[in-house]
Amino acid sequence: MSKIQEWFDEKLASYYKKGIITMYYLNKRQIEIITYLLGKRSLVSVKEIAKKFKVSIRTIRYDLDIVDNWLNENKATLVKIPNQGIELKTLMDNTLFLEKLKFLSIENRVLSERERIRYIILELITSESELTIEDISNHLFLSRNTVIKILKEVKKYLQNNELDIQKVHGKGMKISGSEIKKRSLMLEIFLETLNINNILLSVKNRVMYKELIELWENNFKILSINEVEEIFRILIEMEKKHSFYLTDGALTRLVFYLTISVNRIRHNHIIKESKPQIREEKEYNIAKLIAKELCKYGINFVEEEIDEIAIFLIGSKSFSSINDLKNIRFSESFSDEIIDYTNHIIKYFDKELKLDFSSDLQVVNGLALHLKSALTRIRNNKNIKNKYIDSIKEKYPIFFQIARESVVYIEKSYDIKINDEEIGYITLHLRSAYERISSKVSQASAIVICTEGVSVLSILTTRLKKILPELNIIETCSIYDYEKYKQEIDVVITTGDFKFNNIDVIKVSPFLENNEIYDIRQFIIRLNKFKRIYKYSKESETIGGEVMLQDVLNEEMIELGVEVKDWEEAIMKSGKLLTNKGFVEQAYVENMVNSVKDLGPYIVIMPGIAFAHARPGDTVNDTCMSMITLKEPVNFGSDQNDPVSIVFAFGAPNNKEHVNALQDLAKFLSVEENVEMLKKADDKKAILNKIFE
Amino acid sequence: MAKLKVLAVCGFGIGTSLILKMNIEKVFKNNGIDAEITNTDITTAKGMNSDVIFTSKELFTQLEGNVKASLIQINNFMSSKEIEEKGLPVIKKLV
Repeated sequence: MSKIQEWFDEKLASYYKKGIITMYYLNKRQIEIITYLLGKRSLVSVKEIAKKFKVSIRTIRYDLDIVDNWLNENKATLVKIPNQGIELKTLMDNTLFLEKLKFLSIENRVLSERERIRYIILELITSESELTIEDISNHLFLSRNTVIKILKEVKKYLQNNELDIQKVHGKGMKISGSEIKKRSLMLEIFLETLNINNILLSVKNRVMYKELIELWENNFKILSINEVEEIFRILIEMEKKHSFYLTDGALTRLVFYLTISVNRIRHNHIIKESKPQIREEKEYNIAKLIAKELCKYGINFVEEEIDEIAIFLIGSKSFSSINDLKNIRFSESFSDEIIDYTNHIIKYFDKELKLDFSSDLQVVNGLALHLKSALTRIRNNKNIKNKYIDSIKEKYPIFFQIARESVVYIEKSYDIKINDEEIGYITLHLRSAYERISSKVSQASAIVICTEGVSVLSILTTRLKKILPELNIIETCSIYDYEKYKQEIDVVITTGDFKFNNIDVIKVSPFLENNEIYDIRQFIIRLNKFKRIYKYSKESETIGGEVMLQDVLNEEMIELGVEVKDWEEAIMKSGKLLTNKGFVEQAYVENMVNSVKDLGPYIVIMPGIAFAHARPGDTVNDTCMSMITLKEPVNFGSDQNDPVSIVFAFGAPNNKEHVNALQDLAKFLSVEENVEMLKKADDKKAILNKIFE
Repeated sequence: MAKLKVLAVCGFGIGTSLILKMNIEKVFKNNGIDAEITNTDITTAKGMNSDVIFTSKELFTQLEGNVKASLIQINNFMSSKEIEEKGLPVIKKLV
């Protein structure tokens, strides 16, 4: 900060003290100091504040004087405790206080450049006649020079929004451009200044937020709170009556847009561009209904205006079908309160049923939408009829019970009782999600590989998705990308002619003939039978192939006291035992070496022991394992586990068959004395005896 | 909360990760921790949702920043003690 500025602040503060100036201008830092102290809510030393704002202690003291004066006028004060620090105490609610700070009417504080631009634009748009520089400077308490300076920025800002300043000789300035652009710019400016949650709160609770509302109306003259409230009410009623839903955010935007529009139409600023193509959309009908409703208040929405409302509805993502539910951006669309309650209920179900409801967007968003209207009902003591309640309780007693428990949290925070009818609806939401989640389990996951190009691929996938919804298509990809997905899929659907070793491939024609559909269905049924058995056996015993350690490890697969110069040779020599018998191809051995080069020496899994292997697949003909002990240990580059004196190499044609063998070996190696014995052994038979003991 | 998802990760998801998985299972069982433990390769691990990932030092650095899960580096895949010492504090925070 410059010396001059500091001097100026000092002077200003002393004037305040002497009572020469009575209006309290707060600058940006002073406002930030208030926000900072509000957040602290405990004693803070002046030194700490100075450090935080990177100014001298003296400056902070002056700031605090001004701040304190302003606070005193606003039912708050700074409590100073010598040698300990200061604390901000307010009489009003904190949120309101913060909002009020933001709203400080323009006479009362120094505006930032951005705010000045916004206010000038609003003045110009809403003024019914041209404005001169003097007009603006008077309205906004700015010097003529400042206004001239800022006008350049204003022009730039307008041009970015496809508007401009037009000078009318002898009269002043006005904004030129289309009405649509003007309104959307106004809307943006309002929403930038106001916090949506607070708007909702203030509309709902006028008495408590009376002061806030006054500030609001002072600042934005065309946003009459009565009109905003009325339009809110109309829209919420229409939502219910015509079953379309808007998120809180979208609803607020629409309310503001309509309030602005009502105001503009009243002053004969009417949209002139018509957009007949929009009239096919379902949103157009809703737009028509809204216009009809507002007509009762003496505002006539012409065709072009209705088109614009429809576009607005589409743009603000109104949604009325289940499919749309998945596309809502949860955190942006609902108030913090709704998000909190929704998460609470969903997490409760996750916990109780050990299922993952949280990642099912359809239920999360659906429940949030439901809670939004349910809470309004509950708070206003409006009872909803649920004619299915008895059968819900009877059919889904567990879900109902969990739902009952999950809403206790809401009941406590509102000190209300939620009736069975409402809980019945929550039960239904989670119950249908449960069916969705559990049906997913009995599906098959697939990738579609197409060798004929994108157009064929898209015909095929569209057909597959339509005819076989139980087939979950994870990705459409080229044959080279297959590796990436192999862990997630059960089957590959393709038009090409190829086979993979460890996964089923179903060949189809691009147009998916009936017999091919039948084949895929049969496959899914078989698979799910298998999965159920598999799941069952998985729980009782780790599943693995038939191959046991005895089957693969024998005298021929062991070599002791092998001389090698480095780790590469060690892997090659252990691999040689496998290629000798034709268990693996030479390429596999090279891959074992390359994998260490690519991924690092992670195959050294414990001190002194390396497990050489590579990707399962074509280069492996049979499950196999070899073991060599080294005459002189070598380093693999592993910080913790070097040097290595025993190398195991193994190959597996798929990722199941070798599991048992590997487990046996791991069990053996987990006993320290066994490892010591291996390192010293000079007799293959003794080793094998020990392993198979 | 859904069941804890734990991954044991190695280069190809079939060898060393399997051994690691077995030892994690042993440790979890001894400590009464209920979790779904899967062994997998590093590429798949990057795309999978999980809570905790156990892996070697080399792969640890490759996963760092690519996954949301808590990463635990294990030097000796056979050492229940190491898995216990490094893993349990992390797991206990999550359960």
